[in-house]
Amino acid sequence: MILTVDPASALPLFEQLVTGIRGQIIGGSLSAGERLPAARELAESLDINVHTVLRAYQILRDEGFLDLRRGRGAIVADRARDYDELARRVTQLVAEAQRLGLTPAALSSLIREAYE
Amino acid sequence: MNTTSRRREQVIGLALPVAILVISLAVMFWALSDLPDPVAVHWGPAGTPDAFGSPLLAFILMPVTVLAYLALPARVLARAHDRGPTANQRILLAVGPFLSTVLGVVLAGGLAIQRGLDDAAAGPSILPVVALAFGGGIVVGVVSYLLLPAGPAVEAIPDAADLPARPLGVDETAVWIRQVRPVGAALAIILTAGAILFIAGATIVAFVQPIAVLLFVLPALLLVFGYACTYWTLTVDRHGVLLRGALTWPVIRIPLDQIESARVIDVDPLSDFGGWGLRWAPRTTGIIVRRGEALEVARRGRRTLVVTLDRAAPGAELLNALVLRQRGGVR
Repeated sequence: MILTVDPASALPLFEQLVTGIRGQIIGGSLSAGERLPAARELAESLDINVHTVLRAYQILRDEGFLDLRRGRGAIVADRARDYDELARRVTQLVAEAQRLGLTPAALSSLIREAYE
Repeated sequence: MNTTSRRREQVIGLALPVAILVISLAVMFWALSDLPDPVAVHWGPAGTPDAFGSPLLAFILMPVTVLAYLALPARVLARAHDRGPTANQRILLAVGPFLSTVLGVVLAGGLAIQRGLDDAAAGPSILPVVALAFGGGIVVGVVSYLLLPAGPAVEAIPDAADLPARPLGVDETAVWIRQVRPVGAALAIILTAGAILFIAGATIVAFVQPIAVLLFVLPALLLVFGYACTYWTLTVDRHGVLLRGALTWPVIRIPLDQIESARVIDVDPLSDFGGWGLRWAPRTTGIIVRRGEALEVARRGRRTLVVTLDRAAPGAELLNALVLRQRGGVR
């Protein structure tokens, strides 16, 4: 697993973490049952506040990607699998958007609209 | 490495042991024409014959043992080692002539001293033959080792600036965390089977002869140590490299400011490190749990660290980026 956070980015730190971890679960480089580092360790590695990591973990739990258990840390949830098809289509979608010269912001706003 | 030193490795590592094998077999055939029946096939500690049988076993034992061993040097030689053989590889290659000499002298000599005897039981002592075998074997092995081309004394350490690095913002922090573990379940199964056999054995012994359980203490420690050195968590972050064994021990830490560069290399456990687990090769410490891709972390003036794991490139690229950024910050 590789995670980066950039305090200079417009995106809040916890959201950068959520995006990074979620992307790797969907992309398949983090698989069900795998244990994530303890929040304290990850915060220390990335030089960020432990509450930022906990907040990211909680959001991912609410989205169903992680199981948080007292004393066992954060584990990639069982239901967080079978994203192969989605990952494939996202790649296609991005390729198509790039062909049409759409910015990432434009594509994500299209996706957001489709949800509403 | 040039072709002459390659040729020398082939001659010493493969051709020499085969030649000794052939000569030994020839001597054994020569002795065969005038041997007692049965021949002595085993000798007691005093060197006198104490078991008798057919000489056939010697004819099978000699080629089977030597040829089985030569599979190892053959594998070393099949692998390109452009910088010359490492000390481990030289030992693997030199053991061939040693083994061939010891076996050849013992087996052929053991038959030759029985030539012309009517009764094998009246044969002379085997001890001079054994002494000659080991003396000769050690001489042949050491000379072979010395004649083998040596790898370079000091290997050039690549500079992080010349290797792929991950783009990293000025304030950006990053972490790369991976599990280091054997491929598939093979090793896990071996370790588990070992543990089960061990517990079963210890239980049985505990019932029969309680004090003998002490015999199992050392193997138990070895098993635990083996497990701890087989599964690791590897972390690369702004502090450098951290490796933690399965039982949160052993811990290996390399501070970022000691690191010169990192790259992905290809590792063959047996020929590069002489085996699996936590290994020490010349100037290199290895955490070797599988064959193939490995992360190599070079330090100036200190031991290089090699950790086997797949998809190691992102880790090497992050480490190079961190090294370059720190260098930039320091200067």
